[in-house]
Amino acid sequence: MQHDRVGLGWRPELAAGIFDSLDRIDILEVIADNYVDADRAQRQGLAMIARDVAIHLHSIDLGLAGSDEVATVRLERIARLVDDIKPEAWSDHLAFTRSGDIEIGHLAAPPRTPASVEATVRNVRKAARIVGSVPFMENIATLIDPPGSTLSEAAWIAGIMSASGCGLLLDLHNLYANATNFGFDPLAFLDEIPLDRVDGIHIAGGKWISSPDGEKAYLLDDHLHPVDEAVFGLLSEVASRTAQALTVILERDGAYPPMPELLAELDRAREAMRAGRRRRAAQEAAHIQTADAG
Amino acid sequence: MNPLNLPGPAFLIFYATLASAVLLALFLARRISEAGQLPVLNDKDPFLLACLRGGPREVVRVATVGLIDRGLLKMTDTAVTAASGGRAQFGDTRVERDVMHHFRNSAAFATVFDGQAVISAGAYETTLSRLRLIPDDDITRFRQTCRIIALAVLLAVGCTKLVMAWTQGRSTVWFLIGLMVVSVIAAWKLSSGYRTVTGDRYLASIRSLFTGLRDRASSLRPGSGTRELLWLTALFGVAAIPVSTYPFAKYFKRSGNSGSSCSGGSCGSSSGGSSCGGGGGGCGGCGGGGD
Repeated sequence: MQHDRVGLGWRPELAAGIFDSLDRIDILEVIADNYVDADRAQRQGLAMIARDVAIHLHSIDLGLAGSDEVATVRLERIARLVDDIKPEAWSDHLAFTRSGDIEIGHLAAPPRTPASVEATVRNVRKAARIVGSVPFMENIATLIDPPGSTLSEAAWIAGIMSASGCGLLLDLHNLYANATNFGFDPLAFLDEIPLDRVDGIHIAGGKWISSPDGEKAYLLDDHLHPVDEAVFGLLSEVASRTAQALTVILERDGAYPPMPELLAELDRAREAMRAGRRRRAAQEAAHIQTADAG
Repeated sequence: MNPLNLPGPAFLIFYATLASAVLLALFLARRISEAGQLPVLNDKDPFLLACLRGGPREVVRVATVGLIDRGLLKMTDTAVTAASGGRAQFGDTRVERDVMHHFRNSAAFATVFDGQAVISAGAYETTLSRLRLIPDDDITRFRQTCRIIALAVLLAVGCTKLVMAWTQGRSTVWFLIGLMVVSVIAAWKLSSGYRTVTGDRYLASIRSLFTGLRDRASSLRPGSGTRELLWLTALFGVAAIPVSTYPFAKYFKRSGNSGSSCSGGSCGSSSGGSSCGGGGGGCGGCGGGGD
């Protein structure tokens, strides 16, 4: 049986620390967009790491949840990278990044409608066909509730998972940020999404920002701060609700602390996972006892 | 038709073509014989990579930098001194312990290359040779054979023509002599090189992974307890150390023996690639989503 794994997003700035700590890092996640145009040496470097430690490839810019059909050329570039590096899996976001020829420059949440479910499923299938494997799709953080939505985020995600057959890369900080900013219960969200389809988990940190009028505070998913304890709580909760082995990735994109601090966050994630697994085991034992007594 | 009977200018063209063919053959022979899959190194050791980049002396140089950063050595423009009174047990590796021992009494930095540390660092060459990242005995023999054949062809044809020219009383042979000298030097270089072709590729690949570290070298903190400075120096040389943060680096650089990225052998590798630091971050302040 596979075990839960905890790893880190590969960043060149952290290369020295990562190389010195590979015995404490189960998996690395590489940002695909940084390497689609990489030269041979860089690709060989990544392939070399992939022979030492499991690698997931994480794409940002495909915009698979857009209403436009994803460009074949973009997928072919990902396919070549996958072919060169041979990652265990690859992923992208439930977001759109362009509209027509206009590049938005960030991950934007599309209106959550049956039409956007259909468009996303079409793009995921095309991506799977060209790249050769089905991507995991990640829920995103948004500061704006997409106008025109007719579905809840959980129902929208569940619809895409169900129709496309893709797995979910559950970003718990994105969930925590959305729940905080829009006032819903993250545990209720977990009730609604197909947790048995969760393959990977992202954890990260963020910061509080004010709205332009200063009246409201928002939690921004910036990946520049330590992981909030509430996110570790959610991680433990997911571990207690799922049976499959999970891969947890800590994302950090700047303001890098010393490596021991990042490793301590990985240890904290392992601890949260173990706590959740213990809770699940206890619940299952209690369930069996109840069944036997009955 | 015997090409040796060609008139001067025509023979020069023939010789240049012959030399090009010989050099191309040498190049291809090395590419083919020394190519292979990049090995998996179980131990991600910066000293091993320092050796790959510049040989045992570079290992000693990197070890010295690491010990200075840890506060175990102090360096001035004239000497290096063990801050701990030379207690060699502070070194983690044999080379570091030898460097510490060497500087237990204050000594000029260059003297360390005459001591035991360089001999100890030779162990890294044994590992690199076993992995065929630097030439092992087979590759060395093959290179020598190729070199002998190439030089024999170039010198035999050129010298024969020279003798013919002189016996015929011609003295305008300087173009041919020049062409021969250039060809022989190029053949020698092509059949040499500290690293193998695989070694060049391996170093270039590893260095491409560390471009982010090189880019943020100025933000490294002295004495931070991490091995980032060690990795930086091992892969990019003392020249990559920012003097503003690490003032002692100027003494290495001033010596003119700074262990640049090309020391110790062929410069086939490059730092490669862009600095694709981070990326994929949350969408701070733009009102959009985070990944």
